[in-house]
Amino acid sequence: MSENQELSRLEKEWKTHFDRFTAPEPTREMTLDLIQKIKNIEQEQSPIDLRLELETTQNSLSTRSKIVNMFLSQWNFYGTTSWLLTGLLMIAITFTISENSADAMTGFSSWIKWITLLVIGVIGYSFRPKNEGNEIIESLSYYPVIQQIFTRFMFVMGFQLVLTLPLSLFVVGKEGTILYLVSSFIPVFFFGVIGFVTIFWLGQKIGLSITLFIWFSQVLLKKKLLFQAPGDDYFLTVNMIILGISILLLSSVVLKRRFSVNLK
Amino acid sequence: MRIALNDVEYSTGDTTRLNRITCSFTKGITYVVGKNGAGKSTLLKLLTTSIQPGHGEINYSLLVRDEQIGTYRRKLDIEEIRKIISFLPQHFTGHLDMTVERYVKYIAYHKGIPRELVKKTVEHWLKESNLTQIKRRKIRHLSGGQRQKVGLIQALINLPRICILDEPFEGLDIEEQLYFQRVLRRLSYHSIIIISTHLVDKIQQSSEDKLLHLSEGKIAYFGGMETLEAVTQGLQE
Repeated sequence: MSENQELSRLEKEWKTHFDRFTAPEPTREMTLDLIQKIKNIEQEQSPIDLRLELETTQNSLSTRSKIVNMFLSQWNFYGTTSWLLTGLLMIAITFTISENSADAMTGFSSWIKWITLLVIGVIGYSFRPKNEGNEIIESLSYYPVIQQIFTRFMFVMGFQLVLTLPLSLFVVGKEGTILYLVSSFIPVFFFGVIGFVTIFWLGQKIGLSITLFIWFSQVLLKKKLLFQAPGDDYFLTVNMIILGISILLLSSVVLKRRFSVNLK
Repeated sequence: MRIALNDVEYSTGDTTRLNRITCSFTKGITYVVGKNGAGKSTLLKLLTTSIQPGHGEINYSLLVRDEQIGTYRRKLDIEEIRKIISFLPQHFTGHLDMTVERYVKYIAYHKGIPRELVKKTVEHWLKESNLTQIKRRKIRHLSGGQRQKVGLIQALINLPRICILDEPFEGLDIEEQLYFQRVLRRLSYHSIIIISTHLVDKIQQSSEDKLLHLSEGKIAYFGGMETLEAVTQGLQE
């Protein structure tokens, strides 16, 4: 007997009871059975819960897969074409300067300036302005906002540092030492952090303006301050200071999270 | 799943946008209607957790069945809520410099769709929404209707438990409206769908849907669709 037929039979039994009190009354078990059957039919009629299937798949993912998925989401935010163009631009700057500089020291000084400017540009693009709608959409994610932006920052910095280190050897040629690698790593890291942290705290326009102001002040200054080469007097001191400042600034991102949690 | 608003108030400066709202939303479709400035968009933004009420509270809870404890309501924290909500803003722009395909792909990852399913999911939604032909076009070059479809896809791609849509059918032709209404109807069996609209005559009436009429930041009516006609007349006056 089909479900519907059985339901009709039970319904008929109840109706008969209302019409004629001498008719046998359906038992309590039969009533509960009827309710259960109605529930089952209702469940069968409603479509499959596809969200539940998705959540089951998400929960079965390993931590590694989840991290890879988050990295992919941020990779897609910047876009493969943009990554390729950034890489090509870095290579182009390197070859132009290495071909046109008289000695390693001069070449390195101008190369690091242009590479750091590119870092600022990439950071600016990665954290480009959002309107209110996009900002809400960005917060409604499988991944918390803080994880998203930190991943994006790590991507930008990781990609540029990986390219910067070998490219610096093209500029300095045979004179390439560990010190040259340090002096190419630290300014790139510093401007990346300054860009990221100021945008994070003050928004894209103000953040980028401050970062560009620092960059221009270094380029226009006659005395070298941030862009030190291994032969300079204060090379180690300045690099240690700017590395320390970068780390401190980066830690302030964690503070912002604490602030917002307290406010809530 | 239930969203319960208790005595919620929201003000900007001296203007009270929402005044002492108490209501709750469960699975199914709820249409939010009201004149301009009635507080529809503010209510939706509050529900997305992007703004916080100045007074009162909004609770998101889930019915949990436990063999030992029995059935109880579990309150969700903000990170859990944000995983299951999606939102279509009133004027959706997306990221204008991205192509349709790249944006939808980005959103698929963003919403936690496992990478093995991303390609299939993106292709499915683009095909169903007739966007496959223009998938390489940048969002800035799309027409209003095409951009709205991208917006709807980003809101529906992860089949959210809570789906909040501000004027979702704006700019869509009849066929497109019917397609997305079908998708939303199917989703409403298991999810809370809240739709703000001024196109009251386009609302597909169903006895299971609900209507929330806001007027000057207050609830003028909250209940079944039987009063839709009266509400429509009131709005047109």
